[in-house]
Amino acid sequence: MRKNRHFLTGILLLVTMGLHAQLTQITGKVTDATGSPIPSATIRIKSSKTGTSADLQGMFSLKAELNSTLIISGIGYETKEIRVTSATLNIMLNTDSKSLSEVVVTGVGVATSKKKLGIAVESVTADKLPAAPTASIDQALVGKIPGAQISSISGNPGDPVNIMLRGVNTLNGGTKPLIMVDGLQVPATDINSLDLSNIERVEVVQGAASASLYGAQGANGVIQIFTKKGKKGATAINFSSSYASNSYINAGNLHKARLNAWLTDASGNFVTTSGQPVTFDQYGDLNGLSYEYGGPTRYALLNTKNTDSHPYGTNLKYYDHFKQVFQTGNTYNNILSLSGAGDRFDFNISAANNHTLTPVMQAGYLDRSNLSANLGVEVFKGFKLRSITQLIYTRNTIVPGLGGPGGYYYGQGNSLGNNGNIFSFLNTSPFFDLNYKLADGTHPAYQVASFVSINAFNPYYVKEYASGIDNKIDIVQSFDADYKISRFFELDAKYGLNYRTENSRWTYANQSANLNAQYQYDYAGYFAPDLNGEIDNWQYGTTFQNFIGSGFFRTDWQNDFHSKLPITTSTQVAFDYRKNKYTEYDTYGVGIPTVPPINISSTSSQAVALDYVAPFITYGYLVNQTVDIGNWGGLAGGFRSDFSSAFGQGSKAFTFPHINGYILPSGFDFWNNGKMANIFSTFKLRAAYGEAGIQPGPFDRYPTLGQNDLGTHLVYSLPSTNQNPDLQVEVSKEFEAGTDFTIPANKGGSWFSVVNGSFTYWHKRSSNVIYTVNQPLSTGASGLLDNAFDLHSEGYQFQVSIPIVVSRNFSWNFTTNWGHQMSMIDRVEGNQPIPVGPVDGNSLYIYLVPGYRIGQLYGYKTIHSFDQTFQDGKTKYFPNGNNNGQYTKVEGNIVDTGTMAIQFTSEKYPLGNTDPKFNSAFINEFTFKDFLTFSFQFDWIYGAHIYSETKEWLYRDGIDGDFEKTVNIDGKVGAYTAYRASAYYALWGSTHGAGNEAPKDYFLYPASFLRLRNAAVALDFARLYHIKNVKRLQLVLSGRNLWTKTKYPGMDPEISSLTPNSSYTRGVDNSSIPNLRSFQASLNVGF
Amino acid sequence: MTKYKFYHIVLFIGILATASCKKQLQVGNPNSPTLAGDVTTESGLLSLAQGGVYINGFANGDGWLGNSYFSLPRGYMELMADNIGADASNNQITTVGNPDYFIKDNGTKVVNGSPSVSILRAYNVLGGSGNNPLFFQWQNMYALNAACNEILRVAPTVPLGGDAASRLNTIKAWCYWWKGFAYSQIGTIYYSGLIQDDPLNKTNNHYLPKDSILAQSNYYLNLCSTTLSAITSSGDYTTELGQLIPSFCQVGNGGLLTQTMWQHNINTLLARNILLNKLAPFVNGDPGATIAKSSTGTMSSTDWNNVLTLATNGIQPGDYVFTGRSVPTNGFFTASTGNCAAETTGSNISATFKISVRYVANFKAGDKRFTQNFATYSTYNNPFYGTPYCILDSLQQSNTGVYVLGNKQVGQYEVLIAGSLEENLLMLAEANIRLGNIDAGLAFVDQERAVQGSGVAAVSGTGLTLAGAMKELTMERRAALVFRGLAFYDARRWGWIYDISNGGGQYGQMLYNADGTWDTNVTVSYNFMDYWDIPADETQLNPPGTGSSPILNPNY
Repeated sequence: MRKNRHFLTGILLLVTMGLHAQLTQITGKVTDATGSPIPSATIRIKSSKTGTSADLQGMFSLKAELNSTLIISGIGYETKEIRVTSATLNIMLNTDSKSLSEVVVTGVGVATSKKKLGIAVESVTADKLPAAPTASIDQALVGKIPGAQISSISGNPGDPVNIMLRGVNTLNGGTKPLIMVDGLQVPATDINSLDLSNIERVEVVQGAASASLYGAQGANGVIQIFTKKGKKGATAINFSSSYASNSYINAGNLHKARLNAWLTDASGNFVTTSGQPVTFDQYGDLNGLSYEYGGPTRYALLNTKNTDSHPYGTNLKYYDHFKQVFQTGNTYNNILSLSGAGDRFDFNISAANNHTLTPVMQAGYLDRSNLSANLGVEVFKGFKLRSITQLIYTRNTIVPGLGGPGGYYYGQGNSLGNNGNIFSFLNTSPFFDLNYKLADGTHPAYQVASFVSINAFNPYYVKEYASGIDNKIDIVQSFDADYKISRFFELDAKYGLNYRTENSRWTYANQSANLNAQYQYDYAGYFAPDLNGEIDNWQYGTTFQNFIGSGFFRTDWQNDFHSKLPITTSTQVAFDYRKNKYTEYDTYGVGIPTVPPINISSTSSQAVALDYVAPFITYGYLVNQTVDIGNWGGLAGGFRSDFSSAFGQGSKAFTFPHINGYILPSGFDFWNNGKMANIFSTFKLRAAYGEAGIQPGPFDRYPTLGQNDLGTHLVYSLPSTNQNPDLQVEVSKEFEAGTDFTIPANKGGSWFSVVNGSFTYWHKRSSNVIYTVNQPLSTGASGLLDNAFDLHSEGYQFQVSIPIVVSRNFSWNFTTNWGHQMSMIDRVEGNQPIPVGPVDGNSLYIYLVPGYRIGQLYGYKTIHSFDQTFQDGKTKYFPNGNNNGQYTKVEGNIVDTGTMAIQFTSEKYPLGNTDPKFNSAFINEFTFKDFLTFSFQFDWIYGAHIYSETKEWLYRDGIDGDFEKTVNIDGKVGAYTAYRASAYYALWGSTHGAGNEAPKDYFLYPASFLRLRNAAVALDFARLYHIKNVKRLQLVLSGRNLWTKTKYPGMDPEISSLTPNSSYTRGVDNSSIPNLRSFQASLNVGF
Repeated sequence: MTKYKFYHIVLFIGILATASCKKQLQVGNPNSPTLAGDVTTESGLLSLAQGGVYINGFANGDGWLGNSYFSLPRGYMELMADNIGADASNNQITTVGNPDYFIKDNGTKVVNGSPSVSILRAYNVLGGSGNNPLFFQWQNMYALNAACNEILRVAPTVPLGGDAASRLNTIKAWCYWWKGFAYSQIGTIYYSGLIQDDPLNKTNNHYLPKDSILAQSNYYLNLCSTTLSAITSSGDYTTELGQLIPSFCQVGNGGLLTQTMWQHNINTLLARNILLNKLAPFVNGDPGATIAKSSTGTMSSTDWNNVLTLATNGIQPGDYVFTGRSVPTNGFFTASTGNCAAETTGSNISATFKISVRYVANFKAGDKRFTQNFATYSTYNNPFYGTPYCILDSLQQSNTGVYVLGNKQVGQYEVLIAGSLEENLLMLAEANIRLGNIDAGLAFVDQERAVQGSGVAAVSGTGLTLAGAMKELTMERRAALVFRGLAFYDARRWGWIYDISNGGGQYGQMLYNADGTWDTNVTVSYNFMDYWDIPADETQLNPPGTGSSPILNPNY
């Protein structure tokens, strides 16, 4: 009560003083270093609400008393405070060295200026995020975070991106970072479900050194998303609408051979061995086909007389299956938002809808609607409440097999859609029309020509008989209560609820009437044992709750204790509780009637495929102390202790310490007064050490039995991989050091006025890494989960940002992001190499071996030299050199002239790394006056490799486009099928058989690429024509992935068909869906 | 003061949180049963005893091609017996069964660039399971063995109802039987093995020769027999067994075996252990052929007499045997791909396995099994395994009385896991023939042909010589016992899989050419590894101790 009286007295005094103050009319001009005016700069009297803004000439006027302080700010410029000493003022603002003036919160506990950070925090503001047609944040972040490898690995609508912020910390846990929205973890909702238009800013901390505050879940780094809040001023209404046309990239011109080696007659008709024209039968299959030499068998492809020299076009036509399947899709985006703020409240409410039609035969759509409300209120002085709600409804009708969602554990997120049937056309010989119809108008399932096309399956058949419907509701709700008790104390409580419920239903119609399916007994289905169809019901639910209670104690020694030391401190103590519950209930019925009603109760047999619940609880305590000394430097340190249901036998905590510090030499007088200030106007050195963890799987430490139904009887079985009760958390210990600096390159000039840069080097050791260690089979199990691996990773990253031109009417900003990272295996328990695979579902293995890099693929090598030895280093493959002309060199490969077979090793080697040597992005933004902007971003990924299983399969039947290429084998020139097919079939000592589908470096291609990721031009008519009452009337024409330069001969070098965000399996193109090339037109209207 | 308060609040919240949270951390795994929590009652024990056999033994780890022990692992046995061929590259099925060479009617010698032995050895690497044919039987059978060890360990601790002693003995007999079966499978295919009877499944590195493994099989089969004999309450026995054999397998020849029937099954398996593991060469029509280099010895007359004695007390007509069946849902294998018969059934284009013309040649003219089971609507072209035949789907034995070779319809095909009446009859036949009782032996061939409804005229009493009788026997054994995992062993003991230079090979064989013509007098030198190397997934993780038997077959 006494306090309140003081408070009122204070206010009264202030008011009285204000009334008695002597006001003077002040006029002034705000310019930049070149003398150009800064229009719209804001001028505010410190400690008051009075203010104004500059006009187009940079001029302003307002009433203020002499000796008061004005705060002048402008977007893109450093804010300046000046004392009013005269009635006219000329104020020059310096270009903002943006990277250092920003305030960040992720990884530091309290909002901190980037200038005062001992760790690297990357941040991207909304205006730097491209409006990707998918309207997803993960896509928009590609290329934006220096050092991070964010790759768009699939062009299927709704599929996630791969994110690896800094190396590999875990093998089982993947590379996915912790995702937070407004300070709370959001594990249930896919990041790509959040509404891009509702994002204010994204902050990223990349490794343990900076993510130590997040304890046992921080090792992979943190991506924190901040949603938009209402801003003071008149209520703003914004509306945006866009349309995009999307089609798939085929950068390497992947196609099927347009020439062939089939047996033909004199008029070019394809004939049987007895000379009759080949025919399609009533099942849509082709009969009588034969190779020109060697007859109608698969291995006649290896007959050295056969060449791809016959064109199609007579009784067999050539069909471009890529065109038949990959069509053009489109996307509509509509967004409406309403925002504003008063003195004690703010609000931002928005509604958005994104509708994407899949380009895969246009077989379904993904439709997402987001409703968001961000409401803040100051209940009484110092006490603020905020509620942020995001409701997301997603409906996906993409057909299962053609990219549709669903399947086991799909609801856990981080899964690609079920796309298994899209690329089954790769195995279809090009003389089949995928759109062919049987007599009754249905499509054939299996288009086979006896000995080729034997793995074909027709995606049009799938589209005809299968359908999917997936409904998903996400709720992301957070409450925040923040109470600033005094200038020393602040209490903050956050509670977040992230809920996701999803139901996916797949229906495979009864196919028993399809003549082809009947005859070949080949059908579309998932559980069904026959042609009679099925309905599968996948039901997923996740409920996640996060409570974080924090207390802050802050001091400023000069102000609070009248000390001469310019020391400020902040002490944070927090309790963080997280609880997740994932449920899945999968049921199916097989045997669908041919007449309605078609539902599970009308199926002939039903079963529960999975009834699963995964609870997970973790909580921890955090203590973090920071001390800043003036403008010169600072130190922060502390620890976090975490308990978890997943490690430490549920009772032992694990503690993660951290310490970091920075020093700002440019904050000292000697620097500012000396020459150094001319070289570096700002210069900061920082270093950090921190530890953070990855949680084991929720049940890894609980030994259990397997459980099945056999008929109606419940049975138990021993697990083939044994769980481990003593499992520990996986720990990453990281050191990072770096610098942030500003170089006044051309002080006062409009060109290259400054160069802003930051550089970080990091090194980390990951220990306790969990993996299944092989057990001898005679134990009855094949593996034991254990903390079996030690890894280390290192890398560097930098960002350089240069306002290349800043002039009155034109500006050009350039930013480049650059990063390199690598991870290596140091130790494996038992010193056993651990083979993992096949990672591609076929024969490609990864070996986790001490001393080997992660990301490496293994296989047989093409022999290029007669000196090639076996791995013993002594025994030669060719003891007699080329053995009197037995061998010759073709395309650099040693080839046996007799069989025309490429010679491969018989032993496996590490072939090459799928991880890039570096990845980088180059971003340019041009602004003309205030109404026209143009921007583009190039991404350059260098030194990566990709294994093309896709091409390898096309080689199987000799239908890859490469088969058209002629070669010179010992003087004979032709498109020899035996030569080309040997890449698939041959291995040392064998032309066919052993080498079938074996992994070989022949199919490992460089995957470096340069890609025009984004390009956009925007014209704001509201500003161009000074339209009254309209803040914005902007037309944006943009494109994504418009151009790609690569040597990769597949469709897209960026894709991977393996588990998204896997730690060790990347870079395999096994029927992966390429990225989309999009053209988009948007209209943005703001009032 | 405020600071003091503040820390108190934090401390208080902290203590409260810790106290309430710590208990929550023991979330367990609510989805799965545990040994300690669930195998404490009779029904829990029976659940483990059934799942340990059918899931650990015959389903887990078999999702490579098909989905059970009876698809790929047994498929290899059929591939290497020249009963089936394969075109697909998966799991080396297209290479493992190709002979080293064959000589066509016109004298052309076709040499295989990728001999089977080198394929087996090239892919016998740690973690190469997908391409390592040597891997699967070892994996499944040791998993079966380990599950039985676990059940045997836990069973005495679980209170059982009824006549508890009889019930416990039933469960023990069940485990002994399957341990005997597992060791039988291991000892019959691998050059060496491990005896792993530790109740906690701690393994050892003392690799023993196959004969020791077979002896351990015999030990457990005999123990099963004595344990069965000790059961006094047949009611309790039936109660337990009814919950050990899945109900959907209790049809056809599968069912609740009486103790006597089970004893018969034991004897058949004991006889098999002898018969399959010694040579009885019959190469190029010569019943006195010898094999120069082999990993095993030759059948003696004592061996034949033992086989005769055991088989005489083996499976009798009307006895139930151990079988597997598919169900629409919740089975341990699926109807269309879960066994190698199903994978050989249907159009040659879509079927994974293609029936070999040299298999089909074993049916005599007019054999109803041939006329009813085969069609020639889709041809498979391959230099060695080309065939115009495919096995018709959807036949039902109940309609015609003729044995059905393959059926992809749910529940129709009966997988024979261990012995069968036909196998037992043909063992009686072969033992009799080899012991000089040719007609008595041929009578068993006739009896067996009748069992399968072949409609073939009797051969006993037709005055066949030993060679003639052996030809009938070998043809019938191949024709009748297809897809039962026996044919490779037959081809081995008859000497056919050995290299011609060692006295092996097959003569006078059929070959179907891609141009539709036939060769009818083809000579084949398979040169397959007779007893397999141990998979690297065992030997690299559990290297042999001193005094161990070789882990790689030294004869190759």
